[in-house]
Amino acid sequence: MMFPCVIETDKLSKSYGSFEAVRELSLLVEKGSITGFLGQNGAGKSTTIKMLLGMMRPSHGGGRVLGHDIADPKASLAMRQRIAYVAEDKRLYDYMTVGQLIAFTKAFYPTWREDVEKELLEEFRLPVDRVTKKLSKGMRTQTALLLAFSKGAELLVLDEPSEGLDPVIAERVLQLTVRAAADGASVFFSSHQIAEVEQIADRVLMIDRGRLVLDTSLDAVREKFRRIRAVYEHPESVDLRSLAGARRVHIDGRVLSVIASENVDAIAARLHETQGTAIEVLPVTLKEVLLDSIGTGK
Amino acid sequence: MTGSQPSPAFSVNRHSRRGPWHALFYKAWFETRSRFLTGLIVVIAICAFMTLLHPYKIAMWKRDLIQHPEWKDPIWSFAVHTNYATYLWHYLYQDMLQKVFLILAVLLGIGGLGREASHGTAGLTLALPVSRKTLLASRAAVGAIEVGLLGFVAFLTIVVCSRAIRIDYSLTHGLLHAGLIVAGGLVGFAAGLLISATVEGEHAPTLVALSIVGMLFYVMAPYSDGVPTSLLVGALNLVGVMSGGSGSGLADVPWTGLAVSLTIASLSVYYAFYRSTSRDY
Repeated sequence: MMFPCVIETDKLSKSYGSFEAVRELSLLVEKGSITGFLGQNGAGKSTTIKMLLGMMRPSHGGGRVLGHDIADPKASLAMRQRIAYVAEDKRLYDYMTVGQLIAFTKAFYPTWREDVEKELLEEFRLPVDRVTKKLSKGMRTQTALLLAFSKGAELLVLDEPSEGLDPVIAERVLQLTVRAAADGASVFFSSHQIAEVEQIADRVLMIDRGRLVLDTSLDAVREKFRRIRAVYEHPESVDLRSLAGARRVHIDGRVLSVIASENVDAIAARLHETQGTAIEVLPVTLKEVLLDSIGTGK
Repeated sequence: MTGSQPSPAFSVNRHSRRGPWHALFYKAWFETRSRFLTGLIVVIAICAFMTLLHPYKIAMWKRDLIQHPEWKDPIWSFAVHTNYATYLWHYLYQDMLQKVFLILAVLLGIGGLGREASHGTAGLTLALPVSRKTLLASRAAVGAIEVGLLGFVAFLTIVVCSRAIRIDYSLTHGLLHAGLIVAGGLVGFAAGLLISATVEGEHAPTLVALSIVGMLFYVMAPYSDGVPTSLLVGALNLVGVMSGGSGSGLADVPWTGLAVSLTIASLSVYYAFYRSTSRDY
């Protein structure tokens, strides 16, 4: 069944001179989903998000967010009315107090949730009279999240939302994210915390060097992805390139290991045919899949 | 104070529900208020100082005439010391107030999205559902009002201090020259907007702006005295536009220079808008 998409890009690219920060990125984010957007530092996550929000112009390609063309400033305006964004660095206007910043932000959103604002102010124990420049990093993050969750947005775009938070508050932020999704919002968030992504995401997108290297659901990782291991006298001679689903092959001494995204039985059979012994089919964690994907975006 | 306890800051919450423009003006005021209030103090201090100093300066001049008849006064000295309006024009509108005003106006123009990008808050601002043009327009409007207010306060200070020393001062003269100072200030403010939109970095725009103003007043101006100028160069002379003539008639308004300066200011604002709306943050 196809769900409508809140984010769709088509060969979205951004170059700075000869450096390609994002390369022909084509992705879909389904409505109502929680999608984790992963990648190493400098992989192009923030650049992608900035292009989606109209802060940067794509060099090539394009995209639509909530049905609005990201390259059209007027459409981008209508789109931002329906989006809540938390930037990676969580910098706030340091000349405003927390209360003034809330007041300022709510003026732009008719859908502002007073109940959520009140609840989070109480829960995060934010000092409303303190200027934001005197807040700790954790409090700045909490303030940024309060602003995002209170907007009543249809799409939450969160860049490293739990960074700088203590584990208790980080867990609460994850709960709030799930609750927002349960209330009908779609969530697109980047994170370095793989455990967080595993905990709440439905889908995972991963970019490496600006290129999409993984686009899968967490259920698929759990149900379909497997590590298949076999022992060989000369594992270098085994060729699995023609087999569908064999994502990457590692050789460690006499042990050949394959991460497979599908076609597990056929791959195991090929290992058996090529004189592999002690063949094992093991479940894989998201972390293994992600680490396996790094470097494939060359 | 934490959580949802009532606080003075939350009285602001209720007001800001008035709408996005109100919120944007509020933000622009927050960004510039320390510069504006500093400027207010400086303008009041300079205008009050030079106005209240008048009786003392005149007494000094008269004493020097008697005690040192051999001293040769500059050609402007007699008019400056015998006509109060000319005195104010010479020391304030043509000199101290003009220089300080232009510096303040340029500094009021510095800021905006470029500086926010350096501070790391551009993402917060650009995620708001308002266009970049609206963001810049709110800043430009608040800045222009502040420049106008600084000029009005300068005028008011001179009038009040003139009353204090019991000298009649022509309101027409005051309004005309405050108007020219404000017009020049708006050109400086537009230059500040332009520099902010084109020069990247947190402090670089301020340094560039101050260098340009410094060059105008302290490098070029001293050497331009007596140099014959063509109509075009004269029209581009912002210092001359802000000074005008020493009187209070229409002939004292440098119309061509004023028109050219304001046109350049308009073009600067236009380019600042174009640049701000087309660049990546």
